[in-house]
Amino acid sequence: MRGMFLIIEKDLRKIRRYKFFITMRYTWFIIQVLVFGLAISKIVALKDFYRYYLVGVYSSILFLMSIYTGYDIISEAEYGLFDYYLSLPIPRKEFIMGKIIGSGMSSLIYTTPMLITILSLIGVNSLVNLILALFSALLFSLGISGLIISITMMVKSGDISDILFGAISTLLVRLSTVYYPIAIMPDYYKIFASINPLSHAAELLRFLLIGEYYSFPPEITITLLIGLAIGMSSIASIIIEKVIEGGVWR
Amino acid sequence: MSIRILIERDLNRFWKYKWWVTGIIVTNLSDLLIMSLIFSNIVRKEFVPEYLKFTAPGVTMMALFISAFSIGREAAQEIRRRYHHYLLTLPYNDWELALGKILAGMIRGIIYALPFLLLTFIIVGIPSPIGLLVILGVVAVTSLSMSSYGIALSALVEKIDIYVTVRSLSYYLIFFFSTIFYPEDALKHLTQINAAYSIVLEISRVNPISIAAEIIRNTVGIAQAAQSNIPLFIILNLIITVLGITVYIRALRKK
Repeated sequence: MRGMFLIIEKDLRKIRRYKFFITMRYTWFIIQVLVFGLAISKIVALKDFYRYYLVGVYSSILFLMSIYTGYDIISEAEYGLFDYYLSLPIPRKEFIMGKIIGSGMSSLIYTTPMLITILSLIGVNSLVNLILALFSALLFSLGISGLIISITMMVKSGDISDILFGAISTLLVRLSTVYYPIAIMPDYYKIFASINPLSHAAELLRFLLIGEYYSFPPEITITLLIGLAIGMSSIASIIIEKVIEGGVWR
Repeated sequence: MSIRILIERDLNRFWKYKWWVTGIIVTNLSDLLIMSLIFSNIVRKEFVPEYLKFTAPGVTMMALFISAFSIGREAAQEIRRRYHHYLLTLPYNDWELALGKILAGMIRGIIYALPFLLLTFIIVGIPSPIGLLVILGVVAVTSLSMSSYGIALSALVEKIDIYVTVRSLSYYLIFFFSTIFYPEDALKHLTQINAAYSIVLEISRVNPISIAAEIIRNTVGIAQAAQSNIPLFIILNLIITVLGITVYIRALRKK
């Protein structure tokens, strides 16, 4: 297990290097929350829409940060760092799990200033719920990191991954319950929103942070998030293990 | 040599970024056909009766901005890599170089925005022939000034991280401090609640993308459009274009 913790620690240490990136993301988030969010809330008829929006926009930034870990994997692979990792006395399984957990935890830490901001606006109703919300957020980011790492390792191209991540994030954010509940979507979009993990993360976080759910009950969302985290981590570990030997990139 | 060659060169380069273009098409289309369409079911009718129709001109102008502004990214690379010294050895004077680059950006913006404009007409209806001419004029003028703005920014900021920061800040200001996604009335309501939001309202009134969207809305008869300030639109775009050319030429002349 020591090898896994070392990989996690290394990934977490990298966060300090991204101060500029996090500041930029945070500025974007603040403008979204204080300008776009408030202005759109004025024209939306949904009751308490601003609180709905705040948790949604936090879920979307957590999702985007989890996707960002894919870029980190790409740069490590392009710089040949993966081949270096393979030479370390760390079992493959530990390395892979360390990478997935490290990426998931990094995403959660990157988004901490955003979470504090939305909590200061909506308030904290219970400490237990807050801890559960953090745990749910971690499950979600583990699942997304697993998915993104799998895609990166299969595609093996920085450019194509970049486009795929862009298209995936654009479509998944809009075809989810981040900004609007499923009930108001046209039928042809509902099916995508129902199977979209981002919808379930946003709904579970809403239930835990504001005490209401709008689209899916919490027992379904938590089951799906646990399934996503376990399923995607397992798939990622199988894919990485298959791809990693004999020169990881190209 | 004609500046047509310079324009052609920059235009050809645009098509090489086919993945980038695909990415922004997906973003702009999903803003319109997913987000605006779904929001139209929950937006209060007293503010905007038909939200999809309201946002279509705004999203079109947003698409135009992204595309015209993209020329700045390449100008920034050229300046950082001192490639512009090579350009200066060509048989062009610096004014021709600046004009070629800005016109290339303008044409990129127009080419990219035209399909979105057609989509807007499908959604909101076809304007009168005079209205169509006004809209095409607005598209051309906005594209020219936004291309110029992108290039000026690249010349002003040499360090890549600062350039990316300023560019992102421009995006935030243009998209959110605007009337692309919400009518001016919503911003006025916010100002009544908190006076600090008058900054957002005032910026949206001088935001060329906002004004352009409002002119298109007025031309196609969208009732919630704010009053179009055409003289301000022309003056603002003229100032941005002239400033952009001047700043870029100064950067070219720098040793």
